[in-house]
Amino acid sequence: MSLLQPLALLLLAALGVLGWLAFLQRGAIRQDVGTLFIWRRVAALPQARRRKPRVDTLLWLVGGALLVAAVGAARPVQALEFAPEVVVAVYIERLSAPHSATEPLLAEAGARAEAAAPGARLEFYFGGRLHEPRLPGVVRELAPGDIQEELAQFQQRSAGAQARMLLLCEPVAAASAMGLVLPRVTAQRQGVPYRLEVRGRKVLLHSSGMAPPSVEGASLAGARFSGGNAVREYDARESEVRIAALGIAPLVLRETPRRGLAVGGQWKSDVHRALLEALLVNARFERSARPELGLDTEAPRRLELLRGERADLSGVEVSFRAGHALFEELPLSSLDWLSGGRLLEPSEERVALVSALRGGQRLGDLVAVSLDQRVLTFAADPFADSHPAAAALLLDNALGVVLGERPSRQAHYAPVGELRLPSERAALAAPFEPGGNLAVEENTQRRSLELTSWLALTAMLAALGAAWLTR
Amino acid sequence: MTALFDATFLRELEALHEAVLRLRGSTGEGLTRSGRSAGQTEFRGHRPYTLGDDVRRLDWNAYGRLGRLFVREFERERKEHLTLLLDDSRSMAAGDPPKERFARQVAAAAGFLALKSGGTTSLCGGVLLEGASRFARWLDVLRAAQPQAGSTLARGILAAAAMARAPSDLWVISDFLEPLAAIEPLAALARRRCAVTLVQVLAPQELAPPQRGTLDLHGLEEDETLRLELDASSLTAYRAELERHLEQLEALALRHGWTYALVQSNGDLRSLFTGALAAGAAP
Repeated sequence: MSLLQPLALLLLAALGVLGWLAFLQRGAIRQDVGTLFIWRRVAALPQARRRKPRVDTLLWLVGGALLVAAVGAARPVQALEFAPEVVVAVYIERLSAPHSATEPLLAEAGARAEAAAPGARLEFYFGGRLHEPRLPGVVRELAPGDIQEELAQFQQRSAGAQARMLLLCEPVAAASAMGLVLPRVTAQRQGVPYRLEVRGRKVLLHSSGMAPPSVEGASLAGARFSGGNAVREYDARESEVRIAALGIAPLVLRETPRRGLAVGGQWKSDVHRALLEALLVNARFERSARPELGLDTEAPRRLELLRGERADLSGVEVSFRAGHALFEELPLSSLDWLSGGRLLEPSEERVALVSALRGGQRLGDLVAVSLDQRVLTFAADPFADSHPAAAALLLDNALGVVLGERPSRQAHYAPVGELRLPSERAALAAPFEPGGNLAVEENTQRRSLELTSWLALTAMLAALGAAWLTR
Repeated sequence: MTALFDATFLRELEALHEAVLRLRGSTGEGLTRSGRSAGQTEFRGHRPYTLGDDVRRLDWNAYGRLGRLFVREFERERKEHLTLLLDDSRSMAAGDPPKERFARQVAAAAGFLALKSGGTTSLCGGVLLEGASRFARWLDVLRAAQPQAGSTLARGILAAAAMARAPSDLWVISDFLEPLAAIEPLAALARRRCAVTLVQVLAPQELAPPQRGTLDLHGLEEDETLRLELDASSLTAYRAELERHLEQLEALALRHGWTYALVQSNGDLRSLFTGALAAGAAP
C-alpha cells in the first residue's frame, strides 16, 4: 500500500480542496435580498430548521468518500498471508519408533507449521503410517528410513509444492537448501531409549539425557554418560525383564529358549570335554534326545571331525577362504591344520574353507561347509591338536557358522514381539536455531486481500448518501 | 450598466408609442381606463366678441341670425391625469438588474404615453406635468426618485389615498413583497373613479433564487439578517410561498377591479404595454 499512487494523490488533493472550500465557506454566506417578507415564511416552516445539521453531514460524507477512495486507490492489502493456492510441503521427522502408529507432539508441530505459513495449504509428509494424525492438512506417507532416505523421498515427492518446510530433530546440512528448517521439538528430550543390546545376560540400554528408565527383573550394573547420551548396563536376574521409559511402549525381554545338543563320535578327548563344559556353562545349550546341534553326531546342524582320508601333507601350503565367519577374530597361526595328515576330497556339495596346496595345485580340503552352511566338516581334529584357547575360539566360530550366531554372542534375552525404539536422532531431539527460508517460488504471491474494491464500494455509498442529502 | 434613460431607451419609447397607437386603433378602445379622451372640451355658452378674441371661436351662425358677433365659450379642458406611485423602498434596490431601474423605466414609458396623448402625469404628491414637451422634465423627476431608507410602499399608498383630488389613473409600481393589507387603502381611490393599476416588478433572482447553502439573507428593506439553510427542499418551499402571495395579490386586484401585471426586472417594456397592460391600463 502506498499513498504515492497517482490516483491516491489526486484524491487526497481533492480532499484538500474540499477542506479548503469548507474552510472558506465556514459559516454562512451573506446574500442581499430586497425583503425578508417571503423568506421569513420559509424559515418558519419546520423543514427549513431540520436541514441545518445535514450540511455538516454532507461535508463529512463527501470528505469521507474522498478519503476512503484515496486509501482505496493506494491499493491496501491484507498482507502476510499466503494465497490459498500456495502449497507448502511440510516434512515432520518422527519422534516415535519407525512403524509406530502414534506420534508424540504431532499436533503441536502441525500448529507451528501452520503459524510459519499462515493461509497456505499444507501437505505433510511423514515416514510411515499414522493412525488418525491430527494435522492441519493432508498427510502423505513416506517409506520409513533414515533421515537422508526420507528427505530424499520428501524432496522428490514434494516437487509440486511452492515451498517446503522441515521440522527436524537435529539440523541436517542438506535440509536448509530445501526450505525452512524448524526444530521438531521446543524442549530437549530426556530419557528416551533409542537402542537396546543384550549380551548374554547383560542388557545395555542407550537413552537420551539423565532421566533413568524404570527396569524390573534386572539390576543396574553400571552407567556412563557422554554428550547427552546415557548407556545403562543391567544384569538380568529374572526370566523376564520389563523396561518402561519416555517415548516408547513398555519393553519386555524374555529369556531365549535353550538349544538341544548331542555329543558323540570323536568328541571325547579331555580337550573336547573341557570345551563342551565351557560351552554349556556360558551358552544356552542343553543335552537333548532331539538335538538341534550335533558335535560329531547326527543333527540338523553339526560339526563333523576326522572325515578326511590319510594323505602326505609334507610341503603343502594352507589356503583360507578370506572373510569367512569361521576365521573371524581367530588366531590362525595358533591352530595346527595339518597335524592329522588328512584331506577331504573336493566335492560339489561343499564349499572349501581351508585347502591344502602344493605347487599351487589344490590337493584337497582341510575344512569345508555344506552349501546350506549347516554342516561344517573337518578333515582332521584341529580342536584336539591345538592350544585349548585357540580351540575354544575355533569352536565358538564353528558353532557360529552352523547356528548363525556365535555362542559367545548369544543373547540370553530377546524382546517379546518386535523391538520398536525411536531413532537416536529422535531420542536426542533438541531445539535449534531455524535455518533456511520459506522460499516461495516467484510465480506465487502472498495473498493480497485487496481492500480496494471494498473501499471503493464504501466511497460510493458515502457519495450516494451525500447525493441523497442534496436532493 | 447603461444610463437609465439613454438614446436607445428613448427610441424604444417612440416605438412603444406607435405600437400602442396601432393597438388602440385596431381595438377602438379609449385611451385610458377612465374612458375619457384626453384634451376633450365641453361647450359652456356665448359671450360678446371683444378685441383680441380668437376669430376661430366666432359663432358665425349666431351672427347670421342675430347680426352680432358672439364668441363660443367652452369649459376648461378636462385632461387625463396619470399619477404614478413609485415604490421607493429599499427593497426595490435588489435584483440584477435592480427592480427600481426597471420600475422607473416603466414609469417613464407610462408618463411618455400620457404626455403624448395630451394628458398630465405626475408622481404621487409631485409636480403635475403636461404636454409632450415636459417629457424631459418627467425624466428628471424619475431620475431623482431613488429608493430611500425608511420609505415603504404602505406609506406611499396611504398618501395616495389621502389625495384631495383623485387622479383618473393611478399606477402603483412596486414589488408588492409585503402584507397585502398595506394595499387595501387603494380601494378608496377606486371608489373615487380612479382606475388603479398594479405593476409588480420582481427580480429574476427573486423568482428563482440561485444560491444554496447556509445563507445570511440580508433584507435591504428591513436592514435585518435571517440565517437560512437553502437547499432543494427550502427552495421549493420558497417558491410555493411566493406563488401563494402572488395569487393573493392577483385575487385582490381582481376583487377591486384593478389591473395587475407581473414583470421581471429584466423584462421588455413593449411586451408589458402591448400585452399585460394593453387591455385597458395603458395611458
